[in-house]
Amino acid sequence: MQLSHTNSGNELNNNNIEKQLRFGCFSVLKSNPYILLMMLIIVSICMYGINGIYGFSVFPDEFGYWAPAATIVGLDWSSVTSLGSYYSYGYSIILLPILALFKDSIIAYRVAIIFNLLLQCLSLFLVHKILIKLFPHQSSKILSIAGGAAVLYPAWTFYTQTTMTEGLLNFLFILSVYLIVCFFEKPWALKGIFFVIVLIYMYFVHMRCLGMIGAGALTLIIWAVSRSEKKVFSRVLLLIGLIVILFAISFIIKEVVTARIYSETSEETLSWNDYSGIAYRLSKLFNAQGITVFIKDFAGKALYLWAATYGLASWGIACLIKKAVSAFRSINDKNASFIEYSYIFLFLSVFAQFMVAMIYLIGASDPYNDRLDIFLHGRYIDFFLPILIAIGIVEMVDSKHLWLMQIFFVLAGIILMLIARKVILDNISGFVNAHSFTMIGMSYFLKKPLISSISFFFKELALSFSLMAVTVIIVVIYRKFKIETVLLLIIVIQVALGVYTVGYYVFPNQTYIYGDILLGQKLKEIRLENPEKEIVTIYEGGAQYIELVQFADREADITVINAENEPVNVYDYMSAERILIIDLNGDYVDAADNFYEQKWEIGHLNVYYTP
Amino acid sequence: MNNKFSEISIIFLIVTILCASFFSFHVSLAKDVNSSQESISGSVMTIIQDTVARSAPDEGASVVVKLSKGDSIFVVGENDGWYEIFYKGKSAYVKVTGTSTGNANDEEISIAAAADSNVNSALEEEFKKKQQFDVTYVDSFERQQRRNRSALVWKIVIAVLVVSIIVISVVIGIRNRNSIVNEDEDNNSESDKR
Repeated sequence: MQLSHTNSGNELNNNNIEKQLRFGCFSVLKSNPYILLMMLIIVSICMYGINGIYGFSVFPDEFGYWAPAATIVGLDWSSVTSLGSYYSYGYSIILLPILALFKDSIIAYRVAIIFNLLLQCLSLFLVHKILIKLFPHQSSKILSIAGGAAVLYPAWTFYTQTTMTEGLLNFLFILSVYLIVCFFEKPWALKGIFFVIVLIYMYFVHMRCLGMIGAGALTLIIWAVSRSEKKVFSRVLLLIGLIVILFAISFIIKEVVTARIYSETSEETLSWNDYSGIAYRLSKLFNAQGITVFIKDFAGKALYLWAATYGLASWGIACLIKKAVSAFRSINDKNASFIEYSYIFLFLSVFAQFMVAMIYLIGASDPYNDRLDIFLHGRYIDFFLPILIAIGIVEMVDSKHLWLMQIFFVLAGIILMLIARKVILDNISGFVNAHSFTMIGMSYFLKKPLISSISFFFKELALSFSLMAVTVIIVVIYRKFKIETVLLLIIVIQVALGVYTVGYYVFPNQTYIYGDILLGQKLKEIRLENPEKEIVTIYEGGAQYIELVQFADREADITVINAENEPVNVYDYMSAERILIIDLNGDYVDAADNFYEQKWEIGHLNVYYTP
Repeated sequence: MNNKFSEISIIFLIVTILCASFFSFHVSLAKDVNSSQESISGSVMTIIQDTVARSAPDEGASVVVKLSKGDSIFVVGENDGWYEIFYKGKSAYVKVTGTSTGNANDEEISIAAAADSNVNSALEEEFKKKQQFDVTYVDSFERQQRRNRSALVWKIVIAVLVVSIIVISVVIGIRNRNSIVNEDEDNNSESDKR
């Protein structure tokens, strides 16, 4: 027997929401003023900094995402692209019209950020709708607060201000959950097709979303097998077939992209982001040493998940496990509802993506690895944390064993902390190399240079424990006095962390980034005055600032000479027929100063030419 | 009453955002419109004696950068024996050392004006190259000023929204709870009467 897909407790609420949507989203906003409030906060945080954003914050990743779009519009950035590894082309589909329509690089970049902002705002509605379906008994106001806390996750706020794929992936994950919930509720073929397209597109955007495809396919198969209806089976077969075809097409597209855009990139550099070595990485696990490494690596990722959300994601995972187990029991009893199948998908996708992060970053706890952010890695799991935060808040509010569970999560956090501490202390370099953008949720106290990673580590955990305590107090006050609006204080925490994150990690660097953009604009002037001259740059290592110059002067055909591993004879590349770009304080400055008549020193680079 | 409150809240918040957008845009645009008519006043000067630039016009303030003899700086103002300079995107202060009259010919003064007639031709050549450098400084400085003004407007908006959240969560929440308690009491007394 199939359970009714709506529970009477909130059926009126669901019908009201649907009626309001048919008459425009302003009526939805009117009945959910908290969503409007949170949307205004999201817009304000973005607008706070957008006038001070000029270009890439992360190198070479962001350039890699723009490069395929540039190729499609007829630009040749292959030489500059060779400085970075392979980056997936999915995000370029979004960036393509922006690059085509907006010729000024600063405007184009800011438009891309505004697009991220729109996705973040749209996610507010989607998360709210998902929570309404998953928690039909719960008050709409509490669900909108939980959804707001999810979308205001500080790492998401950070990624919105950049053209990294994470902003898009956050939205796509929520969209995929929404589509699968809708599909299970009313299994129309079109909904299933959209769901599959979103999963495959996520893979196009970043290959680590392989886990999503697996989770989606497996959930559909479980649903089909449990329903035991021929019509259902045939629909699912169609969807699985579509997954296989689109997945195969992705490899063909990758080959074309690699050939067109990465033709000058070395095999070694291309392999940095190669996910095809997963079998090799998996093989490392199947021995005693491999299992020890796995446990240590797990501690780092799980600790990030715990600390970045100050325990809320732990509640979310506990809820998912509970609901997934219950769902399998219901499937066994042949009375599973659409909500239960949705929980299975959520559980499988979170598990699968966590495992992808684990497998791809295996060896992060190795004593010879100096990257702290590979160990406490958040970037690969940040995109599913918002939904876990939302579910976690609702679970905390409803939990029958609040204190027992909270004590359990605190103890789990302490155990993970002790394992992670041992890993840090055993590390040869002391883990003093930390890239903040891959562990945004645990970077509030990160100052460069990182002198003591242990001191930084304990400060981060102290903050997480404190915020966890504050959240528990907020929930206890709600449960005791039934004041729903007090849960809004969780939003205040998220806003404060988000504003701090963007203020510290995005905006200060942009002053220097602007210099490189100015150099690009100056290069364009020089190039137009001297059209016959070739443009050559010597890359000496470090951040690839030449990418900003290429982005600013998009039509420039820049030839890159890679001197990172082996110095070059600069006299081979200096000529009156060449415009030379080199590092501001690099090894070749003196020679260039003596050779060329004109020099512009802006940002991180010098440009030399003889008119 | 809840619907009316929702309407008023929505209107208030939308008006706040529109005002912030207007002021933020106006702040950015005003500078763009006027940029052809006004410029940042200041002059390029050369350090003739090693000194330091501090974060505030105070001997105890932290050192922003050490300046060596021969470095060029963009001086935007003077106040109480300190020059305000703009250096690599930041404002800083250099103390005017020397006699109380601040006579430009005194050897003890740490900064000399580039327009000094004693500057030799090699220095003039150097200043020509530095002129390119200065153009980007002025541009960066103007952009940073615009950005800071716009950011201030939006910081105020964010603060208003956060305060709204706190007010709503505490004040309105307690009021709603009291009205629920009163309702329960009314219901109980009605059922007692029956």
